[in-house]
Amino acid sequence: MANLKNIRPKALLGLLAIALLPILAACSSTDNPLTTISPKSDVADDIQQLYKIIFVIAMVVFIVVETLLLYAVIKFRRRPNDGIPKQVHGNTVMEITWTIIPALILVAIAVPTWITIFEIDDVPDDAYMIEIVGHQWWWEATYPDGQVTANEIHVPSDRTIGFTLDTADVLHSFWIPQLFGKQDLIPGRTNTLWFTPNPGTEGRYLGQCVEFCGASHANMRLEMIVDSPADFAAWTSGLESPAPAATALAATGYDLFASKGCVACHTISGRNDAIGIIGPNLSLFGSRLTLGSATLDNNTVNLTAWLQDPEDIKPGNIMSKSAPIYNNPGLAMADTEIDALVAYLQSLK
Amino acid sequence: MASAVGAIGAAGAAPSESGVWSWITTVDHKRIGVLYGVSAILFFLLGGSEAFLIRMQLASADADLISSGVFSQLFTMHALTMVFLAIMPLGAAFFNFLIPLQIGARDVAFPRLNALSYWLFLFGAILLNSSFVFGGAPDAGWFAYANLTSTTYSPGDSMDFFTLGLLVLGVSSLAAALNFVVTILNMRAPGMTLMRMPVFTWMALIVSFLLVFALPILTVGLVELLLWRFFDMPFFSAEFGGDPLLWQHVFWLFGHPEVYILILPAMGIVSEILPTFSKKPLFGYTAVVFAGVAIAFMGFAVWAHHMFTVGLGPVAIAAFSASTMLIAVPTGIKIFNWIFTLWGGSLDLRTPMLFSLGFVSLFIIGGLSGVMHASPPLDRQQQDTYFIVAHLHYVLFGGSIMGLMAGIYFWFPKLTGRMMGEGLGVIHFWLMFIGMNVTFGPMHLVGIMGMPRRIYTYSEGSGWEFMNQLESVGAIILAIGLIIFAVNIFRSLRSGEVAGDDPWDARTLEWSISSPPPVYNFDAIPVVYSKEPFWDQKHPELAHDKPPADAVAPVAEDPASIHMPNPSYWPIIVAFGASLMAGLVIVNPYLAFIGGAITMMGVYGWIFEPAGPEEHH
Ligand code: HEC
Ligand SMILES: [Cu+2]
Ligand SMILES: [Cu+2]
Repeated sequence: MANLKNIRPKALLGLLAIALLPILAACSSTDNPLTTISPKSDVADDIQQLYKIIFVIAMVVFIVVETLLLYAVIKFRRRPNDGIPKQVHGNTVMEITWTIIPALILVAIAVPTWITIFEIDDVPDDAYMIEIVGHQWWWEATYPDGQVTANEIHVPSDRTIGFTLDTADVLHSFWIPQLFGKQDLIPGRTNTLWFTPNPGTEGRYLGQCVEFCGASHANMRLEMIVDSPADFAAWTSGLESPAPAATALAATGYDLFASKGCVACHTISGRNDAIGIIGPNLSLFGSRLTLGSATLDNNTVNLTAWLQDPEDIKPGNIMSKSAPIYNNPGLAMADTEIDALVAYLQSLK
Repeated sequence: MASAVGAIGAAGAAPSESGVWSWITTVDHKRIGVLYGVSAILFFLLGGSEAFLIRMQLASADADLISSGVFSQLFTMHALTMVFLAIMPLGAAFFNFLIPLQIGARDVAFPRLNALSYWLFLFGAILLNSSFVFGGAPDAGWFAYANLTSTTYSPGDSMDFFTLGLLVLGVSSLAAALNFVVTILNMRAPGMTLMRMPVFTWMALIVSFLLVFALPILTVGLVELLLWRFFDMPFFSAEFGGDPLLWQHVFWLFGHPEVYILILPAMGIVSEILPTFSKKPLFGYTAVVFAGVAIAFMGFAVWAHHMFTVGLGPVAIAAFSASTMLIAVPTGIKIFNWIFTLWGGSLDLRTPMLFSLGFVSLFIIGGLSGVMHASPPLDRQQQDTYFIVAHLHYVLFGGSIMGLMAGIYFWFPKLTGRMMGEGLGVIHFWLMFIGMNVTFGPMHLVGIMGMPRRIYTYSEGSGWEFMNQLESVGAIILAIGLIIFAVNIFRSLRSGEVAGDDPWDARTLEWSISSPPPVYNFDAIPVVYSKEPFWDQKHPELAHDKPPADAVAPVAEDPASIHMPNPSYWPIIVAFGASLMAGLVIVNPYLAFIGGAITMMGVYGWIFEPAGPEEHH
């Protein structure tokens, strides 16, 4: 027992460090792109502030109550010559105490909760509004001036950004944990959401659909790119006039994009034959960093794999389910055709 | 269970009361309890295997073990199985076996209805699971949010198995609940006022009322879903004036009380075990009872905490967050009363006690994480992540399952006449306790790191790899624990130490009769003067409420003259007909008339069957 006493503080510190390590790791947004405790906006900061209050209260209650329990178990464990203990039936004062104290603790949680609810509720009037529409299993974004993009949503860093949220099919939930908490997309109603990026937070933020929406729910991610105002202006104007195909291969791809039926589902601005709306808008696809709603890096290997067999990457997706090229063996694409399409798509910058 | 069968059959029963036929026709509450218990444990193993496969798929990033489609079926069926086919029927097993024994009755109020409940449960469970072989199990999550459940997004029959299976199971639970309410209110031994009832029976009464009020709500939702899918009645289609949110309101208005339906039986069990193994009465009996009642009432006013992110508006979510937090008060009352039951006691740390203490310590964690996402802004970051998965497993595994395990170890001797092995029991407890924390503990962290629930895969670089690996190791520990549990059950049935009537020096009436109890339970219906009649009988000098001086001891009846209800095969026929009807609806609604005809025939036979023994005495 004496030895135990000596090592106890050190051992406790060690245990604490082990317990805290993963928590500290969870704060790092580079290792955990979806972490909920590395806020980069005013709204996320508000939630984080509240989280800290409630977490600390919960931790204190946890330690007090579990210690009490453990103490009772150790202190009152049966010893060989124990008789029948005193038959205590209860104590009204104690009952009242442990009714009132938890109630007070809950008030301490409820009041800041209510304040935060109202703080993060209404979209400010001056917000830059982007319309989001969820599809099985990708995201569409429409900007105030009518530009459309998908899955990789750029926003300016110097303004409050607002979203209207709708769905084209089933329920989804829009969530970019470092920037804002989730909000559901529900048929028949338009929800809203907003945030203002903190200064100096330009960069890429991962998001994820968090309402189960079918086979490829796990692969329904997105990226939000917070741009400096200048970058953002350049990007939106680029959306309207993507560069034309530059190489011969890309030019072949341009034609294949029509003859293989891609145009039926995909829009590319500047092409009047490609105005499909079943799939993501592919204008500026060449400058996208990710592919397949942020499930893969956008590079030649992954894009080729996607065009060869989308089903393998996103089970159940509408492109492999409905496009004739994937359902009619007679129309299947040759590798050279896929190379040409890849070259064409990558030229859209 | 063969020897359990033998053991019970041997105890004061005629020879005709053994063999398969006697189990099919039984209306004895103890045997029906055994049927419920054995089936529930088998389904628990099935649901556990589903969970195990899920954990193996998630053990590493980008794993390829299970396809997305199968994965969706697994997590949906895992939840449905654990909720409706394992924990609820385990609760029903305890209710069946214990309520009459604890209140000094010879059976439940409606023995044949009781048998019907069981057979409906079994056939409903089989119907639901048969979807695996008939084109795929339900795969839209256990709360099956509309409009993913429409014929457009869930073509095929899987969602019809969901609807019809749950409808059958709902009828089963509703009938059982009404039976228990009537039994508890009407069949208590003389002198057992409501406030002298054992706490377990109190919790059973509360759960039964919860079922009576909550299940019809689910039934309404399921019927709407059925009409929507079969006849295009657009309850949940926004484009035709319906609303997908209607389903969420209906489902959770049932679903939250359901949480208490799952946890209160375990709370009742623990409230019996802690006093027995502390050799002290339950601290604050009245407070514990009224906290249970309060939880049940408030449970109907918090459902929208599952819907904080659907856009109900700030006032509504502020109100529902308040009502949800308020439930922590009666829950806290229970926890403190349990702790102070231990205080000053003489704690015997045998297996039932270990599981009970495990229950209290783990339930505290589940309760606290619950308070965290009762705060809607926090819920915006936690909802539909693994943080919620962690929370619900601390409540339902750390809570319900640990409590029910405690109950199994505690009442096994009463049921079978034999003790469960203590050594294996202790190993089983520690494997469960450690395995549970290793499996579900890291889920808190991985949830805070943003891992969504219901994803069949995640990418390298998500930061979740290590935690998921750890969780899967935990699942293996849990699996080993369950194997030990199974071994312990079989060994104890065969060669467990003979228990005697009162192996734990316990406090309530069921321990005053032989183990296993005779078919008629009590030869003399006891007269009750206090909350702990058996303890007070053993220690009259310590008794709080003493019998009056002129009290006469009840006279034992001659067992041969005690009339027990006749066995009947009509319940299984009615249950079979009704379940067949439900199943045939999926094939072709007209064929369902066949099942309907069998049901009608069963009901007809049931009505004209003589209920008691023919001769009079
Ligand atoms: C039936 C409609 C349809 C056809 C035809 C179709 N696609 Fe798609 N495409 C989709 C859909 C839907 C998606 C989104 C899939 C997902 O992420 O779930 C998609 C996604 C893509 C993506 C990834 C977009 C992103 O945001 O990451 C590329 C690239 C693409 N398609 C290229 C093509 C090409 C090239 C063709 C012709 C060979 C083609 N598609 C034909 C519907 C179609
Ligand atoms: Cu989704
Ligand atoms: Cu709830």
